[in-house]
Order: sequence, then C-alpha cells, then structure tokens
Amino acid sequence: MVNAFHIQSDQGRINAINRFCYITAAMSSVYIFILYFIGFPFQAFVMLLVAAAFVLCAVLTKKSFHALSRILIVLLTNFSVFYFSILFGFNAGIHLYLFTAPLIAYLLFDFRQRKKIILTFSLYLLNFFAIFSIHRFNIFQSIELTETIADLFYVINFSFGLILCFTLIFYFAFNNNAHTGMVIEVNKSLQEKHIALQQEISKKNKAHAELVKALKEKEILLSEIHHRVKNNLAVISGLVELQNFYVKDEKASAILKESRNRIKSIAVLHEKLYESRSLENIGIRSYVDELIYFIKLSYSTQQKEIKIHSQIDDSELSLANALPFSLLLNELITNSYKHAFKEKTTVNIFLLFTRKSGESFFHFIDDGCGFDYSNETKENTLGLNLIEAFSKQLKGEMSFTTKQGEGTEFTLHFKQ
Amino acid sequence: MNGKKVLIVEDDFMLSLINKKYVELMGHKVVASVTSGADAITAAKEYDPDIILMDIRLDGNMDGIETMIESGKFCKAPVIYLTGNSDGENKGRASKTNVLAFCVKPVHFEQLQEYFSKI
Repeated sequence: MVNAFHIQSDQGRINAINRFCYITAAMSSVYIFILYFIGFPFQAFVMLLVAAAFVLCAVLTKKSFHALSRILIVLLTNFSVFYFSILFGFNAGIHLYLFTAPLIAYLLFDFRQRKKIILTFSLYLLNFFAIFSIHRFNIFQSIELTETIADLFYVINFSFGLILCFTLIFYFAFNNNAHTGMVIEVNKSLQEKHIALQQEISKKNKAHAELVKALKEKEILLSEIHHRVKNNLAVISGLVELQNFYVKDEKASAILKESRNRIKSIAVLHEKLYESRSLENIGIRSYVDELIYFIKLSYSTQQKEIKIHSQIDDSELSLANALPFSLLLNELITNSYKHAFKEKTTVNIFLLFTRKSGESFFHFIDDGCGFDYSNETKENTLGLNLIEAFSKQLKGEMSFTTKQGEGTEFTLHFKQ
Repeated sequence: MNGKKVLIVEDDFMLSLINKKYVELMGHKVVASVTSGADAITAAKEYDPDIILMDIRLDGNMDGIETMIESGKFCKAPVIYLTGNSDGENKGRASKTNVLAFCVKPVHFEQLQEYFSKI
C-alpha cells in the first residue's frame, strides 16, 4: 500500500510536468504569432523552437527520461526568459516569468531533493540578476519597441506569468488535497490492518498461553505419575520388608532382601526422575550415591564393611538406560556383599563412570575374594543372569573377570 | 533407648501400617496413627509423644511442616519427616521445626533404626 502511494505520487508529478510543458508550449505559440506579426520572424522562429523543445520535454518525460527532461525544462525556461528579456529589454516584462521559479522548482523535484531544488532556484535567481545587471549597466542594446508594443508585451507577460503561477498553485493545492485524501485512506486501511493484526496477535497469544498451560499440566501429570509409581514401589518394598521379618529361613530372607533392594533401586530411580526438571533424564552421580547408600544400609546389620570409592561423571542418563543400569549396579554391589567376604571383613569397591562423545564407560572393581564364574554358577544365580540381561538391554559390551581369591572386575561400554 | 511413644502422621494407609510395624519391631510404642494435621495436633496434645513420624503431604488444609510448627508450641518432640520428594524448599521450611531427620519415602527399617538411635 505504501509503495502504491509512492507510485501514484510520482505519476502525479510526471503528469503535472507534462501539463506544464504543454501549457508553456501553448503560451509560446501566442508569442510566435505576436512576434511574427510585429515583424520579428527570426525571434518567432526561435520561439517556435522553444515551443517544440517544451513538447520534446513532455515526450521525454513520457519515455521515462525524467532527469533529461527536467534539465531541459530548467535550461529552456532560463534561456527563453534570458534571450527575450535581453532582446526586448527589461521593460517588456519577460523577466516576470522568473517569479514562477520557486513553483517550477517544486514542480520538477520532490521537496526532499533539496540540493536539486536549491540548484534550480539558484539558476533562476542568477538569470534574474544577469538580466537586471545587463539592463542596469546597458551591457547589451535591446531592440527599441514602441510604447504600445512594450505595454502589450508587459500585459501579456504579466498575465501569462500570473496564469502560470495560479495554475501551478492550483495544481499543488489540488495535488496536496488528493494526497491528503490518499493518506487518510492509507491510514484508515493501515488502522484496519493494525486492528486485524492485534486481534491475530491476541488470538496467538491466547493459543500460546493455552499451550504453555497444557505443557505445564502435562509436566505436573508426568511428575505426579513418577511420584505415584515411586509411592507404590515404596509400598511393595515395605510389604516385602515386613514379610521378611516373619521369615525365619536365612536363605529365604536373603532372597526377599535382594528382591526388596531391586524394587528400591527402581523406586529411587522414579524419585530422581520426579526431582529432575526434564522428567526424562536423571543425574547419574546423585542417583548412584543414593543407591549405594540404601544398599549399604540394607546390609548394615551384617558384620561386613564395604568401602565404596566412586568417580562418577556429572552427566545424565535417559530413563530407558537408567533403569537397566541401576538394576545392574544393584546386582554388582549385592554380588560383592554375597561373595567378596569369605576371608575378609572389609572390601573395597571402585566405581568409575565416564562419558565421552555419547559413549558411556563403566568400570566396577572389588578387591574381595572373587567367585567361580562358570556356566554352572550362572545357571544357579539370578544376579549374574540379570547382569548379563541388563548389559544386553543397554546394548553394551560387557566383560566379567573374577577368580577365586582375586576379586572381581566388570566393565561395560554402551552408547547413550 | 526403647519404649518411646511414637506418633505416626501419614495419609497413606499402607505406608502408615509399614511404619507402625517398623516402630514396633524396634521396641517402641505407636500411640496414634493419624492422617491429617488437625488430628496430629489433637494426638500430640493428648499423648505428648517422644518422637513424631510426619508425612509432609497430608489430608486437609495443613501440611506436615505447618502441623509441626503449630504442635511445636506445646510439644517439643523431635520429628522425622517422611516425604515423597527431597526438594530444597521443604527442607528449608522444615528447618524451622525440631527436625531429627528428613527422609525420602520409602523409609527402610535400618534407616529408621539409625534415626531412632540418635535420640
């Protein structure tokens, strides 16, 4: 809309320049007749050329040679006024046309083209001073006109100059009015668009607020689910523990305790997810620390001391990987409690978890007694089977090295 | 130190039962098991417990910490907070009361034993 406004404005100016050219050409025609009939055929011919040049300016403007056309108009107007003023003298009043100079400058150029306007106006002013000086100091001898002819010229020049002035003023006033109307139209249209845009923005803001609200509700719901899962696991874990108090058989009691610890491992996982901001990843370091604390606590009644030395990268694990990893770690530590103490009262466990370029490396070493890692043992031990199963679930490469009396070493490499 | 009077405030029936069993197995006496803050204040007035096991999220208008602030005006028993989460805000608020421990559920028997041994 703004561009359309500018095109219309420029087009209006082009039309006005053309009209100006035709009017000046028409005025020149009057002079051609007068000059010819009062006995100045050569000057009439010059005026004919001037008239033709004005028509040429209009043609140039139509052909989009705007700059050339404008320069020609400035030169033509200056030349014709100068030439005929010098020729017929100051009293003929041809210089009166120069009073239209500011209007012509404003007609030819936009008011923002200040340099061009000043230059044009200066040319007209210079022309006036030149004419005045030549007359004042008698530098050139003008043609002696009779008083009647001189008066006729003066009247015609004054009238035509006035008509040209009024025509230009009328055009500017009309054009300004038309522009004002156009600006009002454009403003109205812009205002309507502004209101429509505001309504659109308001709608989008509302939709955005609803989305944010829905997302918040989803997060709360997800968090609540983790919370409830953890609470339910807490109840199951508690029930298993309670049941264990009524079990007299040591082997059965140990199995219940291991089961409870497995449940607890998952409960702690959900607790950490509930606490985490993303609800999808958990901080591996704080999780492992808490898991170790609970496993140690569950074996605290036994006369066994395990010292855990951990070096865990402060990184995160996804829920999909955290679950098998936590259960795997639980099995490894439980395994150490079960097998590492045959001849020892204190066992050291070294945990190392590093993450590099999306690859996770986990090392578990205990300096306990080790155990017989044979197929026969595996067949009879749930824990070892679970370690292998969780390693597979993590799509990792594991290695298990253990020998009687030499401790246990487990390594796992998986992608996260 | 056996034979303590214990008040359990827990709105989950099953967890309340488990905690009660733990306390009894340690040789202490559960004087009341209630589910709301208002009931906890009444029970604290009535039984003057030696220790309180308090859930933070409770039935009714008051949470566990508000209940402890209110009951702290007449009952000086230390409290073990049992909570579903270990967020810092609750820990900060709980520090204004006579806290013995801040424990994330599910609480283990050995864990409770450790806390009770501090009294």
